[in-house]
Amino acid sequence: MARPAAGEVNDADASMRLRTFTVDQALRTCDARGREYMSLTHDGIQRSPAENGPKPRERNMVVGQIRMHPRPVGRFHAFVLAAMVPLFLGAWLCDFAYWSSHQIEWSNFASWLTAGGLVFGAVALLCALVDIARAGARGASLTLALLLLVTWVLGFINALVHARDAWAVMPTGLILSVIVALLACVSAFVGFTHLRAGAMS
Amino acid sequence: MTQAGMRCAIAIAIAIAVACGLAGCSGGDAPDLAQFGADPKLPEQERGMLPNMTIADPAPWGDRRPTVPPGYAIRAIATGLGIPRQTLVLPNGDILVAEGRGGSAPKLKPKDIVASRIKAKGNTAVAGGNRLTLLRDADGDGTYELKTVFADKLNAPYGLALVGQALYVANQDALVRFDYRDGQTRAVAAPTVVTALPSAINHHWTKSLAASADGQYLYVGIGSNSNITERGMTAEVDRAQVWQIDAATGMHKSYATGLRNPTALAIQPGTGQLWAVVNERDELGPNLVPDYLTSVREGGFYGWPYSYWGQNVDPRVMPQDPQKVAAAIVPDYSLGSHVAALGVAFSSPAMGAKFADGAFVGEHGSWNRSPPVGYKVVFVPFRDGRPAGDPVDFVAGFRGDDGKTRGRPVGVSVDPRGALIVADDLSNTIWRVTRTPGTTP
Repeated sequence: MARPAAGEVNDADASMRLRTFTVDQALRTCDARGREYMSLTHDGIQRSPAENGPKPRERNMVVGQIRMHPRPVGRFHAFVLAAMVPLFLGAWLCDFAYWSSHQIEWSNFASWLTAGGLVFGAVALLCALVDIARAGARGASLTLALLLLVTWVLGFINALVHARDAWAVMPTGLILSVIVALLACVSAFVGFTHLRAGAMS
Repeated sequence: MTQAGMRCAIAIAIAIAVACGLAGCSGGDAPDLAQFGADPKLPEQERGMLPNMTIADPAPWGDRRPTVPPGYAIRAIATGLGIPRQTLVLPNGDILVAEGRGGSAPKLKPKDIVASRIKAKGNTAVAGGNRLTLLRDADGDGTYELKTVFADKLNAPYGLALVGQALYVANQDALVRFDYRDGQTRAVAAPTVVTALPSAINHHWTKSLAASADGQYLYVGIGSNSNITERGMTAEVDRAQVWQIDAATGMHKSYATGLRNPTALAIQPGTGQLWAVVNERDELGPNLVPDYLTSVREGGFYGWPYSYWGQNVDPRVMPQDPQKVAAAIVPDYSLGSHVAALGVAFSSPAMGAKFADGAFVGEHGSWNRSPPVGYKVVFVPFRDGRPAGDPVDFVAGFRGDDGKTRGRPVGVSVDPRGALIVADDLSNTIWRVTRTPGTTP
């Protein structure tokens, strides 16, 4: 495939558009993100744009491509994805506290934290499904949706287990809490790795 | 199909898969086990993902009436009450009705919020009266033409007992005493507190009451503060037991313990023995654990929470207590699981030969079992002072063939003149069952 001209959008792949960029464009993008301008000049010397930017003749060089996600991860999606994690982690810790202390209040805490994780998990799953509906089920977006789905279903089963009285929650509740918390962490990692506004290539 | 259409289809398919997965958990009908008498069959413990709930679907009585055996008739002698629970027949034939709704148990888990909303559908929506209503049939024609408030501003009154001129009322937080003179229709003064009763949380709030045959002691049944310790063991201090209270001083001692929810007490005529009906624990399956009728032994421990029906350990209690399990007494008579026995009264020969020797038990009816059980008043026949034989339906038809529930029996009282008084806290009615004149059942 012929390399497109600077600034041109390659529409052959609608879901993951490739955009070439020049040093100048890269600088502006990087500056907007508050990142350091690195390794983009032909002499290989790292310079921060504030102190020592590229020479004028370098400014229009095509230096790379940005993979443009068609709809960058929304702050909302990121927020619910992030909010789910500490709730499920907290449920795990509280279940462990009940397991080791027999103090019932820990089990009540675990119930509520699981319920909270399910609320945010449901919204995160919904966001992932909307992404798929818009951009197609491929690669990481499908992985994320499936991870969130499994997390949520197991979390819901865990909520039902936590509806049992006293020690009837154990040991199933603790085991499920561990699995759900780990799945929530993996979901968040996959989400934040994949669902970013643009990645250099 | 277009690309966009395909994407939507995938998203919808995932959503549907979730919905189907969630819907795929429901239980079938429970096998009917013979669970009556001294040696009920106890199946394995079970608890699925969702409890098997069948909530009463209330409907008005209309032209229907509860059914009674041939030779008996039933009529409503009072309606429109504020949740009638227990009744007391006074020496002159007047009937006192305790009305109210108690309990202040906080909702601790998401489950409590969901379950309480579902269960509320099967109960009356009217406000509790927090009063005693007096019913009088002055001319003896079976119509109770006088319905008047005997005392109000009480706190969820439940158990009632009369000793001479002292009328005892077990509120949800205290045992109180009114002065009572024969024929009185209104309490002349506020009651005197005999003793405070355990009332923190009051998960099981009803305080049942019976007076010893000599009137020296009062027995108060105090229910547990949880189904099975899910509110913590510290909430169970002074709970799930029967107190013996000295009528003169108000001093008390634990008379018997391990009785999960002793919802009604009665003194057996002749022997003076204390008996109780007890509601056992839930969420171990449709046929566990049987509610029971038992004589209450002084100093006896009846299992809750550590075990049920003797030495059957309940694994939901942690830490466990093998010594208490070993000490647990096996109750006398199983009434069946989840029937929710809330009333007990010993019969008298005035009730007719077939129902002369035994005890009537009001069964409020199940909420966590399919098919539902209870929703009737049974007669447990006695011989030589002990239960003998299966329970017999005495008042039934509270739950109709159409699946609608029109009433839920609570307290039962035997009128020495030959009638059974039944409080119904769903239709807020007092029923009176009498022998049909001219018949000898």
